[in-house]
Amino acid sequence: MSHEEKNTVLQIIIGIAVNIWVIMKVRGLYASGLMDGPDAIQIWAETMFWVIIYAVIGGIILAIIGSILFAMIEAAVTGEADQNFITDERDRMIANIGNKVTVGFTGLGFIVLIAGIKFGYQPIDCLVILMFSFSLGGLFGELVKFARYRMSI
Amino acid sequence: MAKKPKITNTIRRLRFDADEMTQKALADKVGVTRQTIVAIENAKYYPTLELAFLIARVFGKEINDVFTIEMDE
Repeated sequence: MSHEEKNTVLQIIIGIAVNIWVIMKVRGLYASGLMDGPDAIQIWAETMFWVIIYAVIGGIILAIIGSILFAMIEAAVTGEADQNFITDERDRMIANIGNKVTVGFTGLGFIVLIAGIKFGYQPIDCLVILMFSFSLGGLFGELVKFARYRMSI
Repeated sequence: MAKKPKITNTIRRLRFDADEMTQKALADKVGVTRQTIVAIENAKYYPTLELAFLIARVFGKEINDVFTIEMDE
């Protein structure tokens, strides 16, 4: 596995963890009834603000720990850890494919937001869908990248 | 609709002829990962013109001696 492919695997693991955590947070907000109140958007935004900050910091920490673990596993299995941190043209091509999927998902989420509000759905529910289109889009982009890496070997 | 042309290469044979140069050694010489060389050798990834020229230069060959395009009729 190249450095970028390992990074993709780590991002998938982090993406799954973050998405599960966000789903639990949003479920908690709905269950508590806060999403039905007049301050729903404010409460949701405040919660998501901290979720994003924690997710970014946690993601960086997990990425560092994951990189160390990957190197240790690789050294144990193959006898040596690959110290090559090159990002080459194939990595950039695959990253572009993943980014297109991510952007496509987020664009779709935005269209759903607009359409949802136009057809009378609660703006807070549409915002939740938009947020999930961002976080799931990022995860699906990484999954597509990983699939592309595996297909091209 | 015209079929996508297939680009084959002789990298594996050229490596063998060059004192069994490893994929890693070739990758280091042209500044890519070993996995990219594997993908190119297996025709799963077509390199850019720049990389194709670099690979040909490592073996002291013309680009046509390393890469060949096959057009399906």
